[in-house]
Amino acid sequence: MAPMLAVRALERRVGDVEILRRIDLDVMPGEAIGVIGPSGSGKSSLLRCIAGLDPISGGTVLVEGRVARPGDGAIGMVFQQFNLWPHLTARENVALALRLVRKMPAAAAQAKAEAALARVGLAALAGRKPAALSGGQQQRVAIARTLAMEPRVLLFDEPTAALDPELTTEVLDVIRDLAQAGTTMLVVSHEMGFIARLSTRVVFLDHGVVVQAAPPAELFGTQAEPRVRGFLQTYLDRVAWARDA
Amino acid sequence: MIQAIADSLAAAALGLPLTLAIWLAGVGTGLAAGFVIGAVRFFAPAALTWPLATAVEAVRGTPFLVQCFLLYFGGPFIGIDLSPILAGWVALSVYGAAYFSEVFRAGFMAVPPGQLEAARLLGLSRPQAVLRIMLPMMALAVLPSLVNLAVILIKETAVLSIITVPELTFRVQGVGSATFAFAETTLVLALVYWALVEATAWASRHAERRIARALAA
Amino acid sequence: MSWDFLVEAAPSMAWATLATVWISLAAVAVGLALGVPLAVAADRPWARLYVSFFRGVPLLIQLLLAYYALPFAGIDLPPLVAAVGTLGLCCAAYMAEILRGGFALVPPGGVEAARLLGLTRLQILLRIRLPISAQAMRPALISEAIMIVKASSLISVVGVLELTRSAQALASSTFEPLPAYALCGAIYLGLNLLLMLLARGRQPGRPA
Repeated sequence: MAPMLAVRALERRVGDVEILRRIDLDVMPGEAIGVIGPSGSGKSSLLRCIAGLDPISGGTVLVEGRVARPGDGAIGMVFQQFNLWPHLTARENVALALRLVRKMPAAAAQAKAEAALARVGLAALAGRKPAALSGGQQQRVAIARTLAMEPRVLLFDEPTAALDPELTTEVLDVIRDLAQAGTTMLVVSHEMGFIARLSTRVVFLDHGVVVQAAPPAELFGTQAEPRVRGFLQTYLDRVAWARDA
Repeated sequence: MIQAIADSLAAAALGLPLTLAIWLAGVGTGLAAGFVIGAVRFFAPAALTWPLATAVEAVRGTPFLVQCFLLYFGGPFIGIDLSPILAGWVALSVYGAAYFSEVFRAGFMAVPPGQLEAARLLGLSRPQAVLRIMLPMMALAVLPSLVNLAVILIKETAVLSIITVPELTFRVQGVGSATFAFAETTLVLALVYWALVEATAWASRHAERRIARALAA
Repeated sequence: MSWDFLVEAAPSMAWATLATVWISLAAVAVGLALGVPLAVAADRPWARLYVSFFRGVPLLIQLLLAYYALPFAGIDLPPLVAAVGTLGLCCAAYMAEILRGGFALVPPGGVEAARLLGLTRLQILLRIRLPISAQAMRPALISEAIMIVKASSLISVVGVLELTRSAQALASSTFEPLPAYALCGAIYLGLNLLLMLLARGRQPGRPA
């Protein structure tokens, strides 16, 4: 089977700093890839390069064998900060690109927007502006906005990092449902338990290099590389410290 | 055409000193009056200063040209009979004072009250605290706006030609009327003002940085 | 100001007020329309030159240029069109600065999201950047509109009949310059107070 997303020798340099070094990654249709690693390891950069938001210094990113262009529906991205447009209602946030980019008639775009909002459980709040929504609800609108464009690959860049802990579950539930429905996705997150349960494969990134890419059972188990194990240990220590404190 | 441009430049050289003099004088009195008005409006209760506030709004809400007409043509009917130059200076001062006063007032308001309280607690008298703490802090904050306004006032001096102040615009337009080479003379005027404003803006930015450094040091 | 004077002044000044209002509106419209591309291209040399010229040369001289130099260059516009056009061109230079400042306030993430969804640069400008920054720019835009209302008085110099020109006519026909110009000033003040109320009227979070 051909990969849905093929990343080949992807490099990104800013000045003399190498942010990403020769990243190779194939993502099969329906796969959910978890991306973990320390801060500054290049996780977000990897997603931004795949999305075409940051320029790449070398290599290729192909979706179904073609170079993706913004708005062609190949790649959708959900940001840490939601990035909703504050002057538009939830419905308008979702419908805008359908109308302007997909050239859908207003009524059809509205209907599709509402269907997308219903899918993330927000049908009742379609008329609200972002400021009148909780962080979790805003993030779900952002997911609906991306879903409505029916991307082949969905990227999540720390989708719950800006949320209060009690609001993360509703967002993670939506992402899990999408994964179970067969959406091809890459998820950058520090929610290790979630990544372990969600992913078909987990990629551990450090200093712009893929240290290990393996099914979660391996990566979170005894077959973890030493560097991965070290990272996970400090992570577990922190969780234990927080629990005991 | 060359002759008209040469004549215009000569007239510009003749008018420029008065433009600069009236501008500097207007900025000087405008700054002084603006500072007093701004300070009074900040320190005195609003119940006492509303006439001042109304006057400032009236000046800011009406065109400079109309103010010039009012003073120069209307003034004599109430015993204010000024020469064009004097009227121009007064009008520019009044106009400048209204805008400067708002900048100063905003500057006073921008000084955090805690700064003044801290100075008082350390034993400085109120005048000392205002003079040593508030004014330097304020000066730093208002400097860019004051400079900006002063540069804007250069351009306003051109309006004074309409009440026959023999400054730059008036002199060069005189060449136009004499030769009918209006296009050339107006072009010369535009270029002279453009250069003047850009040069002043450049120089004041430099001065501003030096003053800011001196105040911050 | 006597009753007789007001009766004599009322018709011409009323019409002149309308003229000033629509001249200002037209100039602000031109200023906004041109200000947007100028703000977007703010760092290009031509945009800098434009802003520097229209902010560096007194409006009076700009109007005289349009009145005298354009016909000389073979462009013969009716004085009204030349005057309103000049006012609008000048306004655009100031609008550009305001818009640029406003656009800088738009969070880059919102623009990135739009880019990723495939909106064109123009669509992002008109649908995302402009509306998001509009609220923040309101006070500055209203101030600029007030400046334009006041600046429109200068087009009396090139013979366009508006408030100031009308007041001049009134002053010479009645030999009463003081009330004529006072009335004129009061009308300008009234127009600008109206604009200020407009600026204050619909601010969010302020009780109506």
